[in-house]
Amino acid sequence: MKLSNKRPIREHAKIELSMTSMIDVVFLLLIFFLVTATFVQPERQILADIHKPGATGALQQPDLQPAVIQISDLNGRTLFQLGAIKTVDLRDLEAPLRGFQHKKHGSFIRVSDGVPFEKVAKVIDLCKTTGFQSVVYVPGD
Amino acid sequence: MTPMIDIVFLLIIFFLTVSQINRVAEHPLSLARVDGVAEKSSPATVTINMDSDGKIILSGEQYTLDRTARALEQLLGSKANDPTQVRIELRCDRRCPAEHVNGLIRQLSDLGFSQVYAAVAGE
Repeated sequence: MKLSNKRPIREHAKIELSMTSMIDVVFLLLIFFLVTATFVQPERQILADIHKPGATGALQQPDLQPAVIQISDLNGRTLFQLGAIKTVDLRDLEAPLRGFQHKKHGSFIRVSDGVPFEKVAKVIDLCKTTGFQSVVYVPGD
Repeated sequence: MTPMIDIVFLLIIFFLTVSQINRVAEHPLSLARVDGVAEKSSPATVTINMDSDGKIILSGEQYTLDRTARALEQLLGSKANDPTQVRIELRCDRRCPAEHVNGLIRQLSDLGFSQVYAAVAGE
């Protein structure tokens, strides 16, 4: 009796990959990433100039009467002051700022401690909206 | 079936990559919302994040004000000490008290910087 060491060769032997399981996993991964992805909130920028303590500019020239907005904290509320106008509502400053003459010299915002940055950003934005070419940030005392 | 699997894999790789890289320089903050003339965000040389407590975060690491000043000084040195070649973006939380911003602005002024771009939330 002769034993053959050859493996029997099957005719039409075909390797078949079951795609279903893989696609299931891939779709689960896709859904996971779709659900957990946090989309980036669009951001914009507002340019502010930085005040130089020793610089001579519109702030030091008394005849120019530059727009100086003082932002300070008043018992948890933010007080805006432009000349004689004192208000807690920023919209009250829009008309006076629009009426300013020397806009090319820019405006100055003097920010006191305790004021939330959002109010500062809104004032810078208001100055730009009302036509001031530059806004100079002056850190308060 | 093959093209569909290709697309699905590409989508997975896309989401994986985006979720990893979109927050390297930008710390998650609640930015001030303005509805005026803020310009489109442009790439900055350095992005300074400041959270609601006034903590400074640079590239995901917390910095003190002095350390921030030293880092900026080094950056200036690599740009021939020309502050106009350094575009500074300040990403400050809307609730951050101004004393922290004032301190940073004073440091920037001392280093010779004359402009800063404040990041705001916008459409």
